[in-house]
Amino acid sequence: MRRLPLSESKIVDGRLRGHDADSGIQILLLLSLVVWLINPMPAHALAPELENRARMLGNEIRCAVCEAQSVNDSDATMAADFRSLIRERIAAGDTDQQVRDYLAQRYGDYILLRPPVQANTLALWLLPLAILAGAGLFVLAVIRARGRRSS
Amino acid sequence: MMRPRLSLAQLPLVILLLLALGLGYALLRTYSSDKAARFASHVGKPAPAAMIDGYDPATWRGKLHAVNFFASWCLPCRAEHEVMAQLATVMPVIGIAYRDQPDATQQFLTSLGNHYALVAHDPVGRGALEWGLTGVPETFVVDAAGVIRFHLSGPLTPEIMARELMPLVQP
Repeated sequence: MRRLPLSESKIVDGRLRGHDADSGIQILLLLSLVVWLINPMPAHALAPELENRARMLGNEIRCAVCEAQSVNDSDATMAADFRSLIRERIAAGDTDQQVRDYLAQRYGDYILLRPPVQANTLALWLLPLAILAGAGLFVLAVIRARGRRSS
Repeated sequence: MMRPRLSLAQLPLVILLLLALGLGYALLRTYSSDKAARFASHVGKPAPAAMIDGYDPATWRGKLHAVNFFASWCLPCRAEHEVMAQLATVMPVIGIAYRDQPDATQQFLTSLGNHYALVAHDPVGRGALEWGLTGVPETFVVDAAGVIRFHLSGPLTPEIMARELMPLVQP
C-alpha cells in the first residue's frame, strides 16, 4: 500500500534506491505487523446477527460524554466503553430490552435516546397526537365557517 | 366583520406560543447544569456491588466512606485534590484511578500527596459504567448501609462539602 510514495521518492531522491528502498519497505512491513499486533481487538467478537443487534442498540443509547450523540456516533472513549458493554451484555445472553434496562438502571432513562412509554412520559408521546388532532379540528372549523359565509 | 376572523386565524399562533412558553419553562426548570443530575442521581440507591481492582464494596459495608473517581490526566482532579485531602479528615476516601497508567497515578499521588484510604484501579473503565460515571472527577458517599447518600459529577468544592457532605457526618 505504501509502495507508491516510496517508488516516487526513489525517483526524486537519488540516494534512496536499490537496497535502501528495499529496507524501507521492510521497515514499513515490520511497522504494519506491529500495528496489526497491538491493534485492540473488540472485547467481544460477536456472531453477525448479534453484532447487528449491538449496532442497532448503539444507535439508541446516548453517549454520557457528548450527550447529543449516540454511542455509535461518538468518538469519546466512554462511548467505546459503552459499545463494548453492549456487546458484553449481548454475549451474556441479554435481550435488547435487558440491555436497555441494564443501562437505564445505572444511568437513568436519560441514557435512552428513545424515551420509554411510561406514566411520566405519556404526555411526551400523546401531546403531538393531541396537537395534530386539535389542528385538524381547527382547520375543519375554519373551512365550515368559510363555507357558511360564502353561501 | 374583520376582527373576529383575524382572532380566529391567530388562535393557532397563540396556542403555539403558549405551548412553547410552557415547554421552555419546564425544560429550564428541570434541565440541570449538574450533569449527574441530568442522568440518574444515584442518591438513595444501593452502591454497586461489583469489585473494582483494589476496591471490594463488601468489605466496606458498615462504614461511611467516599468513592472518588479520578485520573492523573484530569486537570479538575488536580484542582480537587486539596478538597479530597479535607474530606479524608472526616471520612475514609477511596480513590479509583479511572483509565490511568499505574505509574502515572503513582506520580500524581507522590507529587500531590496521597490522602486516600485506598487506591483502586479501573484501567478500562468497566467499573465506572457500574457506577453510572459520566466523567472524572466524580464523587459518591456511601453510608454504613451501603446506600449512596451523595453524588457529584465534577470537582468537589469546599462549599459543596460544607453544605452537603458535613451534615452526613454530623447528623
